[in-house]
Amino acid sequence: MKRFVFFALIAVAFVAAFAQNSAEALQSVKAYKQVVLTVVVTPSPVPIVFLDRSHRNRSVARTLTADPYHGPLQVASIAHFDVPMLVAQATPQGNIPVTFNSKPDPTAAYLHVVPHTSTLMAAYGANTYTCPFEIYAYYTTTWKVTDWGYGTVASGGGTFPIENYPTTSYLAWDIPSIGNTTFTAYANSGSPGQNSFLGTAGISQQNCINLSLTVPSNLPSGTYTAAVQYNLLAN
Amino acid sequence: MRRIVLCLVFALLVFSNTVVPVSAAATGSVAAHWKVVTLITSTVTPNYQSGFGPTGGSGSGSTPSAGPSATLGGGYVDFGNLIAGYAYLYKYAAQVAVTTNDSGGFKVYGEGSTNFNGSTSGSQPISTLLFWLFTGSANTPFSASTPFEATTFPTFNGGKNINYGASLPPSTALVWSNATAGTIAQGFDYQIRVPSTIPIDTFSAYVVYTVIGN
Repeated sequence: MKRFVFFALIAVAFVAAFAQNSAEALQSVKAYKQVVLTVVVTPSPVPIVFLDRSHRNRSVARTLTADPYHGPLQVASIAHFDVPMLVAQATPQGNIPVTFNSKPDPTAAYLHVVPHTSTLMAAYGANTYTCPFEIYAYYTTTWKVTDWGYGTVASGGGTFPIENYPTTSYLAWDIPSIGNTTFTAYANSGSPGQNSFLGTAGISQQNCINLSLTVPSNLPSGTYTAAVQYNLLAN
Repeated sequence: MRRIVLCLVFALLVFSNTVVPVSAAATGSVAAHWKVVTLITSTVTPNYQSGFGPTGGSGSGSTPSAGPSATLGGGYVDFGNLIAGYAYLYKYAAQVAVTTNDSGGFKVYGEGSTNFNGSTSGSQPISTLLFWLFTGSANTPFSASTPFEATTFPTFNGGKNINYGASLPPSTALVWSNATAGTIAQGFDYQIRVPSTIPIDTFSAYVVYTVIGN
């Protein structure tokens, strides 16, 4: 009898697990949105240079102090002193008129992004950003939100900051409102990505996403773009 | 007496016209220095190449197309209807052509004269909506780009111009620089990232390009 109960329990557990996996496997994408962030990497301050106290350098320094120009004699002459002539003239200007009509998003009731910051100013090393955007999600059945770096593939290459697998993304996220306080690197192999957060049928969530960005020292300063795709999956 | 004076004057005139040029032939040189005045002219052309218009909006369920105010070589950069919450790229949005005789070249600055003004709602910050990048065949709505900022200087001519007075535009508004003289042109694509929170409305703004010699 004990054996029967034991095997029955195992069978029930197996069926339950299989059912859950099947349910997840049957989930389909109901909506997806891209979050686009501009990353501006600012140059490092001028590095500290320590004085070389060697005899040769001291000698050069003394020479330059005594005669900073240290070249052939020159006589000031108006004929050779190229003073730029300023002539008043109108500053050329032109303009481009820009217009657009905003239309409602038919899937916004299920998934949308609430932006707070579209540009991340980054210094070399570690940077963190508190809630640059929020993700709202809802569905009438059990749902989940997944993410991956937009346009990423598993075959290497890629661009800063999300890169492509097997390079680990320099951009990571956490969601403290659901107890996830450890930064996780963005998935960068394209679909299916990774779970961001899970939801119960008929109950919405709007969660702040915190970001962590590590800028490697060999990266040129400049402007970069990070694009992340968020997907709502439900049965 | 009068006759004598007249005769002397006549003789002097004849002498000066005939004898002096022959006997006083001489050469010399003059060192001349001059400055060439720096001149700069520019033209700014919207929708400067066929194929202009918006792309993107992946996932929105609709395909964007240029609005009726966009015409080849003129009109507006008219994105048409955009779905809130999606990102778009407008190809061949603007071309800036500069002619200068300044061998030092020039710098071009671009700023919004205002934020985006809604026709019935309030304004939306241009710095989170509109971005620029050099025209390129590989550009997408997600390519690296730089936001336009709304100017802090006074505007005139209905927002079509910005008065910088004796100041330079801010360095953050620099969009292009060139270090040679001549006639040179640069094309720009625009990106727009429409937030999901934007009101349903028609929005407009002017991007003003200013050219400064180096």
